[in-house]
Amino acid sequence: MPPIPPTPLIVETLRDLVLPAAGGAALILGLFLTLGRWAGCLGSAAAVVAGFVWANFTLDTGGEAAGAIEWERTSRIIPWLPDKPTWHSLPRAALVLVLVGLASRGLGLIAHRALSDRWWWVERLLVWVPRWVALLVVGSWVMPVPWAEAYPWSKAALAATMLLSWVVLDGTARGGAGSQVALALAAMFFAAGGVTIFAHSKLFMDAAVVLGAAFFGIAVIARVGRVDASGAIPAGVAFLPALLVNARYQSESLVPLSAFWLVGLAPLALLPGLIPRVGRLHPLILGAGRMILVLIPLFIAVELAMANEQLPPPEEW
Amino acid sequence: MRSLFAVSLAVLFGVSASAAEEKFALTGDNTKVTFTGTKKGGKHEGGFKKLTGTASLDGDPATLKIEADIETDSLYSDTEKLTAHLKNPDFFGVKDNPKATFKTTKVEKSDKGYTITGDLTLLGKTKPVTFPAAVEVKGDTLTITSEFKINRFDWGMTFGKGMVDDAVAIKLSVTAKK
Repeated sequence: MPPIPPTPLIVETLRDLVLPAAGGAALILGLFLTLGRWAGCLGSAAAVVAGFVWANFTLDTGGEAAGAIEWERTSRIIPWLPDKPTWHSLPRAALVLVLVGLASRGLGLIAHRALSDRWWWVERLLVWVPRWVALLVVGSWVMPVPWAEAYPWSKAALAATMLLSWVVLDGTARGGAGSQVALALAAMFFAAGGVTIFAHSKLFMDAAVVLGAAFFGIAVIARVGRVDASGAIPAGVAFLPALLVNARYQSESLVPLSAFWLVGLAPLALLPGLIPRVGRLHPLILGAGRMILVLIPLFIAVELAMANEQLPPPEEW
Repeated sequence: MRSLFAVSLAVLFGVSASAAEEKFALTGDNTKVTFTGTKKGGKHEGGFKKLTGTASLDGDPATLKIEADIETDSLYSDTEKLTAHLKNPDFFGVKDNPKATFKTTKVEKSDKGYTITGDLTLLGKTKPVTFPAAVEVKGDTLTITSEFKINRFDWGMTFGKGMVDDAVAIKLSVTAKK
């Protein structure tokens, strides 16, 4: 077992990261749900953005960042405006995907109402073509430049990974498991936090914990309100693989590549639930099965990280 | 005729002035930049193995000009794990910031030697620093020694707030030959 982090660090993480992200996301989704269950998708999109924004502001990193509130000082983990490092583009990429996700879903709904059933494929095209285009653009923002130059296929591969994850997560959430998808995403981000801290990167761990907490807050409210919460999924689709790719690129550690892949591809573990025959299983069995399938690769990934690398000394956390 | 004489004088003085300026190449071998980070009950030491640059002066140390590029990936420390951690974005982010630079802006005589002021760029952020230094030119050798502290938070190096001290001690030692 790795040593337990110092108590002040745990308290600080809960106060500055987990509570603002989970609380902020839950509060916003709850407010949207006062309008009715129809607002769940839009509310979950707003909730994940609010949770991230709030925690990205409240993490007190000290120094100049702790000064008066000015635009540049309101981003503590990841800057709002991307600079040279590709990981600075993570929030922008997530925001673009969230907006494209909402807009394309709106297009799909309009097409669904305007066209007869035999034109169902037009509806699907209107939903997924804009998303695929957006993913190709976003994939080029967040792939580290030296890797993109060394492996020309890497941007498309990252975009394809994001698309597959989006298809699986969206399909599962719209199939009535919205809160469970949010909970699964929370687990994936917390596992990403575990892998990245073993790879000696607290910065990426903080970013992962913020997203994990925000999805946890959404999962709780979505469960209570029984809404699909699929509007938040694109933020997870953008952040999860891109954060892990950048953490792997930036860090020097003995954590094996497979640990990063296992977490990054964990959304695909929900794929069996989309098979019609499996989808007809009792909801309790289906739900438990989905979570087990997601948790297995996450446990293996964290175990691999722990087996191959040590945490930074406690006093340096 | 008079203007020709003036031009000749200007050229002559110009040539002699530039001839008087001595240039010293700075390398990782003749220039040691080391640091000590402290925390409760302990400390870690490290430094940079590779740098390039020049130091120039015209005999008077107050005219000293230094320009140096430090290769951040050449960072080393007393612990292998710490070296890996120092290279990632929690500290120096060497992939995004392969160079740290220093350029003097002012050198003044002080009671105990000289006071050097310059711009230090770390993590892509440039901040002025001022530190005391002993500067001496003997024969064809320039020596500069200095010890001072910087606040790592000024450059956005915020990891370990409250656990790793904000101030980092820097030691500079130059022994460069013409």
